[in-house]
Amino acid sequence: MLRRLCERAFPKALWVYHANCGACNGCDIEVINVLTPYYDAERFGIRLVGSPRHADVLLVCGPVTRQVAPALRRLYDAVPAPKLVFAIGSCAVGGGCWFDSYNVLGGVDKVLPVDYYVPGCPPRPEAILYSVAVALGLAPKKVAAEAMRQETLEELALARPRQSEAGP
Amino acid sequence: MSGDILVTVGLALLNVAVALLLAPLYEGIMRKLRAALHSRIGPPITQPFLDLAKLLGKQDLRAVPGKLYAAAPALTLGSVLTLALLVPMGTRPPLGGAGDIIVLLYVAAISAVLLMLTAFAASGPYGAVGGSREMMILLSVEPVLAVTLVVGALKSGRLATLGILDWQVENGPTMSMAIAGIAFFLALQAQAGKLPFDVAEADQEIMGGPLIEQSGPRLALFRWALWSKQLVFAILLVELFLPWPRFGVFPADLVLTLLKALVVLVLVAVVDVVNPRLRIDQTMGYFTRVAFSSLAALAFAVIGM
Repeated sequence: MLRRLCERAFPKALWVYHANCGACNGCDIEVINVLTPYYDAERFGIRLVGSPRHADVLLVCGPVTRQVAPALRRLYDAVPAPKLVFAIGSCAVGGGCWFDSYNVLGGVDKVLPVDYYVPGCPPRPEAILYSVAVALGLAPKKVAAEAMRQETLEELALARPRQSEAGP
Repeated sequence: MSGDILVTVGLALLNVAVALLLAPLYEGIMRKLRAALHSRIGPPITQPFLDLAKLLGKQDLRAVPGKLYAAAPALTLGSVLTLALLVPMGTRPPLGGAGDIIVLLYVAAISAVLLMLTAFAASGPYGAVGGSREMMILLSVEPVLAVTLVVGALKSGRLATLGILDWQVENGPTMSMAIAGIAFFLALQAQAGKLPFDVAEADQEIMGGPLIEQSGPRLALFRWALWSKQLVFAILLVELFLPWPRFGVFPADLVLTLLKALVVLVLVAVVDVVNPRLRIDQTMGYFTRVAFSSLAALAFAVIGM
């Protein structure tokens, strides 16, 4: 019972640690914006902490340069479980304008398991807050999951019955 | 005799419950108030409970092996709860027979010392800086607490907290006790680790200082201990320096004490919001001056004012 209480309290008291992994500072400024009184992230129980030991959420910005990758891995290990990773900004999502560049790994998910992606260059503070709200279950997802596949011959035949009737 | 013991045990449980369960609630009210002063909505009042529940459910990553290090958070909380047993809450303190204000001062120092030891054991640069600042604050605040409590002892002629309380209720406000009370309030601000004296933790500067290496349940126990400590000190302040009016009916006195403690903590929170952080040398200088000023209360007490 106590364990379940702890699990239920987790999304209501997320403490975030902000890691810059080669970002241009654009995303950092927007992350700091979210924590200003204007957006008031504390009403969701979100707090910025200065130590990974206190953190529940890693906000990672930047395309992850080769230099910073080992440090990022150690940072992830320093966070006590359960933990979430947010990739903030186009660079962190998939490399952005540094895609396939020699000096970056191109995205946080090359190093850490990422739970939420927040695209944008930089993402607006509203977008970051929205992503957190989606993560906490406060807001619905705007984009539904969609899967694409090749139709089978039977499905094609069912979709065009008149043609098959017209045949010899 | 056995009835007396039962009452004492009941009082002890009540004091511990107040220190454990009301402290996060009061902290929540203080956070809400801070948010209101920032023109924010702020977290719900129950946020500290959520924080504690979340932290207790997290993984415990330890930087250092060793039994004392492992036990430090529990010992810290335990020392604060012992302190709660020495403080009168509406009636006599349950452990009053075991110790007077001198024991109270020693027990009050234990939690800070344990926090300091933990910080030094974890051996990070921020932790070391936070630990040494904690020590310096302890050294400069402790004399203020000692002088203010001695003023009470001098006026009432007794060292027991209950003796001072009874004398206060009987004789009404005096000049020396008022000055001592103000000095005690200033010391409370530092004991609670609030701005302008949160130099030891200094979240924006040294990232939580002594607590930087503490994760999950350990951090929860330390936080809980600090919140309980600030509530117990606020209760001690209102019981020793502002015990009027006293009904003599225990539940009424308890409720009134808790309400007065809430007012004191609200004041602490307001001071916290409107002040910047002092440097550690400024903090020490400040409390040296407060200690010397509180000697004036001692002088007034000697000439009977």
